[in-house]
Amino acid sequence: MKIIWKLFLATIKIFYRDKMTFFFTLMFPFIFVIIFGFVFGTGSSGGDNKLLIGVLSSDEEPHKIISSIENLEARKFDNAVDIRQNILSGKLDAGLLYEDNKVKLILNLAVMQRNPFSRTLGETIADRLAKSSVKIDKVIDLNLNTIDPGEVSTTGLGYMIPGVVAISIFNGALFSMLSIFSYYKKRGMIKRFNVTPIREYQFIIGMISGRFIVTLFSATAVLIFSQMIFNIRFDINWSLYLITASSSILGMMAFGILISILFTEPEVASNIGSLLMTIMIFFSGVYFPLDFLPKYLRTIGGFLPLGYVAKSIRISTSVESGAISSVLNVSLAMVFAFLTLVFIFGSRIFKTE
Amino acid sequence: MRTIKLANYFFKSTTRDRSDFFWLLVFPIILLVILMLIFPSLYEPKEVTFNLVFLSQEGMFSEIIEKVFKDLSGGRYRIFRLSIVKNTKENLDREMERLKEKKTDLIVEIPEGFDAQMLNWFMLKNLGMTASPPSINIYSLKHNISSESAYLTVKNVLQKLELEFIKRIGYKLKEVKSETEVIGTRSTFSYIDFIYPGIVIFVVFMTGLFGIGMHLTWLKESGILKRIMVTSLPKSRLIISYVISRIYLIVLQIVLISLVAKFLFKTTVNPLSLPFIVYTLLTIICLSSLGFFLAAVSKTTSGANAISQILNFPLQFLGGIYFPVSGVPWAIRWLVLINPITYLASGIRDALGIMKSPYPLYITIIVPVAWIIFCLLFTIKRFKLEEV
Repeated sequence: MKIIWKLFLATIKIFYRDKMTFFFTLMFPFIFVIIFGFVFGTGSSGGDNKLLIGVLSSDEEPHKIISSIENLEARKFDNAVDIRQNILSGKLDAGLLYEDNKVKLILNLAVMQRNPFSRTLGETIADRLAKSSVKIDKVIDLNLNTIDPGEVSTTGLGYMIPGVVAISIFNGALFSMLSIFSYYKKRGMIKRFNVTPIREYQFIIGMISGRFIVTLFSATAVLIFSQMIFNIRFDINWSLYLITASSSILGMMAFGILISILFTEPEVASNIGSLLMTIMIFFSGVYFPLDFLPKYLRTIGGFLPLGYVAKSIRISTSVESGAISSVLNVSLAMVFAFLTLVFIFGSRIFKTE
Repeated sequence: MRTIKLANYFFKSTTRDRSDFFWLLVFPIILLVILMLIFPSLYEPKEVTFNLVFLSQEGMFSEIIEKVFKDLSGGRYRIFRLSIVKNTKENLDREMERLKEKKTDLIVEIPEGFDAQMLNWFMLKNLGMTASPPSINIYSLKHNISSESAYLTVKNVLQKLELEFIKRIGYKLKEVKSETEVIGTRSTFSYIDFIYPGIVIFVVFMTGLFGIGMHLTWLKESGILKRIMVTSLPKSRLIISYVISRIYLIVLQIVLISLVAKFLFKTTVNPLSLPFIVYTLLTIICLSSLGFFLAAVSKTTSGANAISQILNFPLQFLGGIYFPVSGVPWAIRWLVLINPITYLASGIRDALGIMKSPYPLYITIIVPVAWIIFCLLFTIKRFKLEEV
C-alpha cells in the first residue's frame, strides 16, 4: 500500500512539474472556452444573440418596427456606404435600406454563421411593413417559449462548458495512458521498475490512480473556474458528476491503453491520439452542431464516446435533462471497458519488456 | 552544392521524423477533409426535415393552419415531418418531454378558443376597432440549432398566412418586396473557396511554429548547429540552406493541399493567380519569421513547444482561418487585431474575391510586413548573442 501511495504522489508531482502536460490538461480547455465563448456567444451589442441593425430610410416605420422586435436594436444612418462599412468592420450586425416599398437587408457571412435568425430578417420586416400600411400590427401573436433543455437556464457558453469538461477528461486520461504505456516503456522506465521489488499491479494502480486524480481535479477546476469567470450558474449534482467524471476518465484511459497497445511507437501512438481527439472535438457535437450533417456522419458521431460523456456531464450539471439510468449505463460501459483492457493488456507491457 | 546538400539534409531530417511528417504533411489534409464535411452543411443545410408537432383545436382557422403545415409535410422535399395531436394538457406535457429529449424539434400549439378569438379580431377590425390578436404558442428548445431553424421556418409560414388572412377580409396591402444581400463574399459562397486559402495559411503557420521554431531550437539544443558551424561552411550558407529546406517543405505542403482542394473538393480558386501567389509569399515570409523569432527566444525544445502551443490555437482560431471572426468583445478583440493571420487571411480572401476584408488592403500588407521586420530584427540580434 505504501508503494502504491508513493507512486501515486510521484505521479501527481510529475504532472504539475511537467509544463506541457499541465498546459494541455488545464489551460488548453480554458483557451477553447474563451475563444469559442466569445466568437460564437456574443454579437456587436454585447448580449447573447442581440443584433444591431443600421437603418437607412426616409420613413420612421422601419426603425420603429425593428426596435419593436425582440433581440434587435436599430440605429439610424444617413447613407448606405456607412452602413456597409460598419457591417464589414463588425460594428453593425446588419443593415436595412428601405425605399420605394423595397426592403434590402445587408448581412455579412460572419453574422449569418453566428445567428441563423438573421437570414429571415428581411422577409420579417417586409411583412411587418406591409401590415403596417393597413394599420395592422399582427393578426396572430406568436408566443415563443424557449424551453431550457435542463433544470437550470444557461447561456450558449454555459451549455458548451460541460462539453469542454468532457474534452478535458478525454485529453487528460488518454494522453496520461499514452505516456505511461508508450513513453515510459520506450524510455526504459518500466524495465527499471521491473528489477525493483515493485509488483506489476502496484505500478499500474499507483500510476493510474495518480493520473486519475490529476485528471479529475483538472476537469473539475475547468468546471468551477468557468462558472466563476463567466458568471454561469450550474446546479451540479455532485454525486452524479463524480460518478460520470470518474467513470469517463477510466473509459478514456481504456482508449489510451488500447492505442498504446495497437501502436507501440510512442510518437505514432501520440499522433493517433491527437488525431482521435481532433475527430472527437469536431464530431462529438460539443463545439459544432451535428444536426445538419449528412446522416452517415451523424451515425459516425453516434459511435464516438465523447458525445455521451458530454451529455452525461450536462445532465450532472443540470443544463440538460435526461434519465439518470442513461448516465449510469454510460458510466458502467466506461468502467467495463477500462477493467477489460487493464486486465487483458495491463501485464503485457511488463512481459514485452 | 554544399548549400543544397545541407538543405536536403535539413529537409529529410524533418520529413523522416514521423511526428513532423504527420503534423506538417498529413494532418492539414485530414483537417481540410473534416472541415469540408462539417462546415458546408452549416452554411447551406441541404435536405433538412424538421420534426414538428401540431397541437390542434377544432375550428376553421385552426384547420386552415393545420392544412398549410400538412401541405408542407408531403412530397419528396418536405420541410416538416408532421405529427398532429389534439391539444390536451397530457399531450402537451408528453410532447414537451420529447422536445427536451430532442425527439421533436418544435411544438406549435393552437390554444383553446383560438377560432373564437380570430373571429372576434376580424369583426372588431371590420368595425374599425382594435383588438389584441389571438396567440399561437410555440415551444422551441434552447441551444438547439434544429429547433431554432424549425422556429424560423414556422414563423415565416405563419407570417405569409397572416398576409393572406388580411387580404381575404378585404384590405389592400402594400406590396413590400424584400431581398437579402450578403456582403463581403461572392454571390455564390462556397466553403471550399473560403477554407482553401485558410488551410494554406494554416500549413505555413504550422511550419513556422513547429517546422522552424521547434526544429531550429532542437538543432540548437542538440548541438547540431554548433557542430555544423565549426566546419568550413560559412554561417550565411548555413542559414541559406536552412531557408531552402523550409521552402521545399512549404512548397510540398501547398502542392498537396492544392491538389486535394482542386481535385477532391473542386475549388474555383486558382493557386497560380497573382493575388494568391503574392499573399502566399507574404504568408510564408511572415510566418517563417515568426518561427525564427520563436527559435531565438527559446532556449530549450520544451520551451519552444510550450510557446508554440500557447500561440497555436488562439492565433489560428482568432485569425479567421476557419470561420469569419467579428463582433467579438474588446477582451479578446485586441488578440484579433495584433494577430498577423487576421490580415493574411483577410487579404488573400479579399484579393481573390472570396470575402471582403474588414481592413483596407494596404493594412493587410503593412501589418504582416511590420511583423516580418520585428521578428527578423529580433532574431538577428538574439541569434548573434547566442551563437557567437
